[in-house]
Amino acid sequence: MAISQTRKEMWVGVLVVATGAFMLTFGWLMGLFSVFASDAQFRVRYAFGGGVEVGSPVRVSGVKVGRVDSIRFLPDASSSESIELVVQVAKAAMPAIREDSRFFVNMAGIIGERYLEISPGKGKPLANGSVVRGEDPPRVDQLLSQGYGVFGKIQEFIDDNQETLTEFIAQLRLLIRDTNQFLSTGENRQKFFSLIDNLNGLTGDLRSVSGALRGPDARERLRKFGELVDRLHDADSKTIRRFLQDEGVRVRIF
Amino acid sequence: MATEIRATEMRRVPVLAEDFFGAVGRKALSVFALYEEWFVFLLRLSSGLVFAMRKPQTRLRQVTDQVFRMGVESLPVVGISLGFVSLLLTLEFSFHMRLVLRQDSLVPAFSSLLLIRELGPVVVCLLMVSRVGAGMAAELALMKVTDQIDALTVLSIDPIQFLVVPRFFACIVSCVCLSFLCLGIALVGGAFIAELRLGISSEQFFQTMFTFVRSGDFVECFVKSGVFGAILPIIAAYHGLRCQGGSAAVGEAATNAVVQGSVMVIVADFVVTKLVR
Repeated sequence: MAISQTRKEMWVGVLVVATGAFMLTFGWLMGLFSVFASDAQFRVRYAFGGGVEVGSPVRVSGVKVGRVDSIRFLPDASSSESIELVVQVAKAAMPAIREDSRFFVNMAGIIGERYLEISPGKGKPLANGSVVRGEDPPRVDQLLSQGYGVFGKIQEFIDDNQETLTEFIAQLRLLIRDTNQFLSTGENRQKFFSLIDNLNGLTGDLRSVSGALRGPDARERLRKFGELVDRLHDADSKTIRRFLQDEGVRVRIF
Repeated sequence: MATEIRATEMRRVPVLAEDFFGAVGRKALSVFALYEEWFVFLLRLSSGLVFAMRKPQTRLRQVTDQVFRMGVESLPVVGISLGFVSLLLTLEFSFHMRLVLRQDSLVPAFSSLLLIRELGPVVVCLLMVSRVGAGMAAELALMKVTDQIDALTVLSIDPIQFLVVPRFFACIVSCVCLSFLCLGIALVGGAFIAELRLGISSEQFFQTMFTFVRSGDFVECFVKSGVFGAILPIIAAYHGLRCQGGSAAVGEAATNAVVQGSVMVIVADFVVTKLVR
């Protein structure tokens, strides 16, 4: 049965429209554009991106709310911030994003895809178009290279002082053995624990003395003593001698 | 005596030059003759495309007819094939991931990425080469051996413009449309088998898929299907229009179109992948 030209055109139209609809649906699902909900935008600055890419998801408390729209390099070389992520999130999520929120670059899954995690804060809600500072992700490469440096130096120190270290370890072993021997007899053990008890009591006393010195009475006495010293400073030697003689004190001063 | 030798040497110099340049010329001509038909065909097709773009309404009805024949009528066959490829891919990925990683939660991501970037356009266009390319080459070859092409030329109708250009545009449109629609069928099929056999829900399937799939992957799919859609009618029309002889030549033209078309699709896939990424 021959198909009429009109019907052919209709089917071709269906094919083209279905393809267009499929492309639009996928674009929408991928977040390339938004049909129904409007998005808010803000920028997050970092010194190190940690592998985040354009299109990486943005999550607030673990819930996907948007994506990284673009990444640009900042021209100011003196600043610690070198990149800026332009982040697009659903307006509905904006009340959860505060001025004191923290912006982490996290890793998910076994492959390690990167995403931007926003922890909700308690300050004012972040305004649309704001610029905030993100928490730089740890630089594993730097940590590794620094770790290698530290381990290298430790190795070098061990190599240079091998004899000293061997002797030190031998002495330490002897010390431990002697201490163990000393504490093995019941009398010494009792003495040792009594010493610990005494030390404990002493530190307790010291604590109560220092506590009393910090109290208001002690402060008042110290103040009065200071005043007395100030008064005596201005008095001449004759006055002081007379005062002391009246008090029955015979002493040669000045 | 010495004078005679010098005269002989003087005669030999131009003879050597003649031999050398003659050999180079003959080689160049043989190479050109080998590709002459291709050059001429591509030049005529290019001029036909330029003409068609200047007057797009001229062959619109023919383009619509061809899109119906190539696209709409091929959709069930190509859709079912790619759907089953997707089912197989999901199960195979699951097997391999469980074997190596002891878990298969990322199967949706890997299978859909492979489908969108590679298998979608390649499988669709290989099937189109078999179904449409062979048909187109046989149709044009039959027209050639029954002198219908010559009749068009006598009537001052350029056979390239009249027969090949509408098929060229229709094939590109059909390949792009079929690639995307069959991709949709394949992804739905993948989600279905993942839920049925792997215990991955369809929501989880598409969520994992969109974590990895980028818009660039769809652009790549679009470019590839467009390029393959352009290669297919060029090769089919070339073999159809150069056909000479009887019915055996028609069969040979169809076979050559399918073989060369399939090889060219795979080669073009590699080239486009290298250029796009």
